[in-house]
Amino acid sequence: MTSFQQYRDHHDAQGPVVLETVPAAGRRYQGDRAGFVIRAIAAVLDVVFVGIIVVLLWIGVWLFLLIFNPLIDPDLTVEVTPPSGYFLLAGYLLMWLYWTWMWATNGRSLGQYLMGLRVVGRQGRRFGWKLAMLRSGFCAVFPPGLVWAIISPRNRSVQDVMLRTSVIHDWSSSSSASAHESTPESSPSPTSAPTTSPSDAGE
Amino acid sequence: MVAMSDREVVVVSRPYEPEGDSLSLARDLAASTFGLVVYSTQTAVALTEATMRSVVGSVLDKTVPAIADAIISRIDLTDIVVRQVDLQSIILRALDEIDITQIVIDRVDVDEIVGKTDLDAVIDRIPMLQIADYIIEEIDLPQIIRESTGGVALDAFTTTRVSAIRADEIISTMVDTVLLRRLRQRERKLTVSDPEPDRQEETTEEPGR
Repeated sequence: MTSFQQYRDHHDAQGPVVLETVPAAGRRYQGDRAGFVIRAIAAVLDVVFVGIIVVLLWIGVWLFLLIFNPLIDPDLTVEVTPPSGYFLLAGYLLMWLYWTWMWATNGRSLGQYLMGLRVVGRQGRRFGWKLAMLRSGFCAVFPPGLVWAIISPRNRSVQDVMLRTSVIHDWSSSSSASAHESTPESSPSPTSAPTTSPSDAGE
Repeated sequence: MVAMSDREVVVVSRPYEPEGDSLSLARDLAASTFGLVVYSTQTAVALTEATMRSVVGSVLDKTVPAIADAIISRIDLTDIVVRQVDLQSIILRALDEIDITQIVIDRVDVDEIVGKTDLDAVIDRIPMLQIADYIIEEIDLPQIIRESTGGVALDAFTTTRVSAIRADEIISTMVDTVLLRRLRQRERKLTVSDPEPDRQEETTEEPGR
C-alpha cells in the first residue's frame, strides 16, 4: 500500500490523475488501431440494428396498407406488400444517417460501443459532421472497403485511407475521444482539410 | 500478702558552715567574675553585631538598588548577554530538561483551540481531490463498480472483444508473414510522438506492397 505522500509525489511528477475505468483486459489494447475482425463485428451489429429498424418500418407500412387499403384489393395480393426496393434504399439512407449522427456526436456507433471501438480523425480526435457524412456515406455505399484493413499495415480500410481517419480500441465508456490520446498519425499539417496525402493515397 | 508500712521522713536542721578556707572563696569569686565578664562581652558583641547588621542592611537596601539602576542604565545588558552568553546551549539544555509535549497536554486546552480555529480555511488548504483520488485508487473503486454493476454482461462483451482482438492479431501475423512484412507491430499504435520514422517506414515499405 502506498502512502498518501508517495501517491502525491508520484502524481505531482506524473501530472493530473486519470482514473483507470477500463477493465484490465482491455488496457493494453487501448488506443491501438483496431483490426478487421472486430470492426466487421461492429459493422454487422450496426447493420443488424438498422436492419431491425427497417424491418419494423416495413411491418408498420404493411400493417398500414393492410388496415387502410383492404377495399382496393380484398384478396390481399402482392400489391399490399410494400415494395422492398424502397426499403433497401431506406436502409442505406438510415445507415448513412445513423453512422453520421453517431460518429459526429459520439465518435462511435452502437456496434462500435459494444466492441470497444472509436472512430477518430487526424488528430486522434472526434471529427465533425462533414467528415462524418462523407465517411458514413462511403462506408454504406462501399462496405468491402473494410477488407483493406486486413492488408493495410496500419489496419486502415479504404475509407480510412481516403479520409485519413482511424478506428482505434477505446474501452472507456466516455463519449469524448481524448481520454487516452493518442495523437495524430504522421500528419505534417494538422490544420489542413481531411484530404488524402500522397503517402496515404498510395497505401 | 505483704503488710503495708508507713514511711517516716525526719527533717533535721543544721547550722551554716562555710566550706573551705578564704583561698577557695577567692577562687570562687575570681571564677564568677570572669564568667560575668565573658558573658557581658558576648552579649555586647551580639548586640553590636545585630545593630550593625540592621543598620548596614537598611543602608544597603536603600543604596544598592539606586546604584544598580545607575549601573544598568549605563550599560546594554541585552547586547552583553547576546554577545557573551551561549544562548543556544542554554535553551537546548533547558529543552532537554523539560517535556514540552507534556506541558502542552497538561496546560493547553486543545479543544478550545480547535473550537476557535477557522476549519474552512484549513480544509481549503487540504488537497481534498487528491485525497479522494488516492482513496479511489487505493481501494480500486472502478474495479468494485465494474464487479458490482452489470458484471455478467460486461464480462460477455470483454470476452467477445478480446476474442476478436486475438483473431485480428492472428490474421495480421498471417498477412505479415505472407507479405514478408515486419512493420505492422510497430505501426499499430496510433501515436505521433515521432512522425518522421513512421513516415520513413511507410515509404520504404511502399515498393514491397
